Amino acid sequence: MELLLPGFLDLLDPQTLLIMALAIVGGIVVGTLPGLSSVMAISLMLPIAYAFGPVTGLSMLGAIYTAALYGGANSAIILNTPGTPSSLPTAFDGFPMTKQGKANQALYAALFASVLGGLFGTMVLIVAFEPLANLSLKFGPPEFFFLACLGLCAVAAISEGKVLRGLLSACIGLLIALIGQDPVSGDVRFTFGIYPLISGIEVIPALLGLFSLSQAMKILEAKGSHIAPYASEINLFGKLEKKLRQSWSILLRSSIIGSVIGILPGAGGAIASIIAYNEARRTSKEPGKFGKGAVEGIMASEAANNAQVSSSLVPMMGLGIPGNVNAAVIMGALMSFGIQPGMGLLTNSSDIAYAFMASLIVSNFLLLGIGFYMVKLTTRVLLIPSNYLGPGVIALCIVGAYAATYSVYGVWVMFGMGLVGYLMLKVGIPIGPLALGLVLGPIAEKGLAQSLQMAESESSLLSFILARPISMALIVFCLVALFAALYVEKKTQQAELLRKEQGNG
Amino acid sequence: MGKLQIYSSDVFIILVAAIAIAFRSQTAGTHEPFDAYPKLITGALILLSFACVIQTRFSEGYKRSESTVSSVTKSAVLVIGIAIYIVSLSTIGYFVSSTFYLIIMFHSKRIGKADEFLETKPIIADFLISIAIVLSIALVFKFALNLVFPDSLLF
Repeated sequence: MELLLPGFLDLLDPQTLLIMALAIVGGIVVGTLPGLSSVMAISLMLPIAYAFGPVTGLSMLGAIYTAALYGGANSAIILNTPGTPSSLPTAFDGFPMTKQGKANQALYAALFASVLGGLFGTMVLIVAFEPLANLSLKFGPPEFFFLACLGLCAVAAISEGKVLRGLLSACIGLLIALIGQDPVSGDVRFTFGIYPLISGIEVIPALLGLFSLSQAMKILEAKGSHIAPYASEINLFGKLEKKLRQSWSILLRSSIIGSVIGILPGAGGAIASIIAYNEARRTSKEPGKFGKGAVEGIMASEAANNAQVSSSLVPMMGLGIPGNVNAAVIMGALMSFGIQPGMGLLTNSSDIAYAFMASLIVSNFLLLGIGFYMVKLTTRVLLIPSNYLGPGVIALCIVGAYAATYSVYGVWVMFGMGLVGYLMLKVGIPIGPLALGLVLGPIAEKGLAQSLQMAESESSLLSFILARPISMALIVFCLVALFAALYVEKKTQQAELLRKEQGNG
Repeated sequence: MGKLQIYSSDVFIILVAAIAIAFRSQTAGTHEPFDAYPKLITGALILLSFACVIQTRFSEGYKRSESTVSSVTKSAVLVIGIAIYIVSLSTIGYFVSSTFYLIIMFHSKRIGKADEFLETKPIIADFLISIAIVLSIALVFKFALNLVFPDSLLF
């Protein structure tokens, strides 16, 4: 800990701070633009980072990672387009808030929650990165399977009151995720002779189509001149401060969820934000508000999303195992500076390691300042007439899908998924659960197949699972989440019925 | 019960069930235990499809929005327009196809408005806005981030 102060002092160089500020702006733009991911931004900046040297270069990459993950919330709130898969639950309440003329409130809530989550995650990285790195090794395939199941329990929360149709939608997502190579055996299945499908359905173009394209088509069909009213709310920050104070437990819980899930290699930010969102709804006094514009839903999703930024670096820094692609690229940067990641990092290159950790704290404060002014620019999108915005979004989707996959196949995937999303919206089937299935499907499948293989040497699958305490705990969490979701659903329906009866009376 | 009616949601759900059956028939070729998960998903999807169709029929809570001929035509034109845009992107290139697509889409909202349609002023404005959008996207994706655009025959 005492090495953290010199780490901060290393960052006091004006050039480093300026580069970090520019990286924050770039990260927000990349995160906001559909199709562009944090991985893409970090990899593009690798040669530049190398030119700046280890402290400035790594600080720049950390700043881009932090800002890009937050940037996904902007398009999720304004255009119902999650810029990154981890901002998927942000769209569930963010876009309804935009429709209600509360875009500013939603965007600021996302910013504050992201910063608080990011700071919490970084503190976790600094204080407990050694025990957390060891904990991440205890997660095996069964645990990942049940973790994905826990994420899927959120289906009830995002089904817009249509649980059966929500489950159908989630299963469609899980089915689409099956296309391509089996994640364990490598067998090619469900391609129906279409060669490009061997590589499977890419998540980013699929999400772009599902949310953005279908939304753009709805914008073009709608009679109104603008997608949502542009309004400046009275006493916005007073309301937000009250909400933040009331929601401290949601912010804390979501940050813990994000930090814990972030350390698990391969889990990713999407599962963290989905579970945090579901937990926020489960424990809320007004669960019926979720999915209709609850600011708590945005806070939960964004706090978890940004908390996992720092904690996802734990396995890479502690064990030399990159937990996700972002961490792998940053690990590449460390190695290019001649620094070996792993436990030796803190003994051999502790000055750089602590300067990097300190830079993640500074990045969050820079994000708060820069993001604060960029929110004002973001909400101006609502002033664009819908007959200009709709086609513009379609063009952006097409270029974004191409940029995400470097092939026209990605554009067709986006188009196909857009069509599916559009038809589902038309026939009244919620599209959120489909996205959930699509994101969590590969994790669940890999976990189940590997668990079944591992259980072959045991007397039964049950005894194999019973011998794993983390799996047992996750099963209990799944059951609690499932029954709580069904209970909340029933209570919400009863409250709606009562409200209608009172309205009629 | 009244007379049996088929709704658009029924057609969509039955189509989903048919796709799930097609997927399930393909699981026969996969090895154990790797077929367990696909069988679980396809089975669940088939069961849920039928449950949804039954629920739609018996539940009073579901309101069915009926599509008019004009709205279906509008949707079809939108979908075909996007498909043509994607095809033209890899033939005539991003700049030309995007500019034309955007102008047509901007102007499509004026169809049926005699006082606005084919007026010179809005067409020039649409042209300038479409050029601005096309160049802005190219500036960010192609020139600032150095990402490749689809190969095309023209540009």
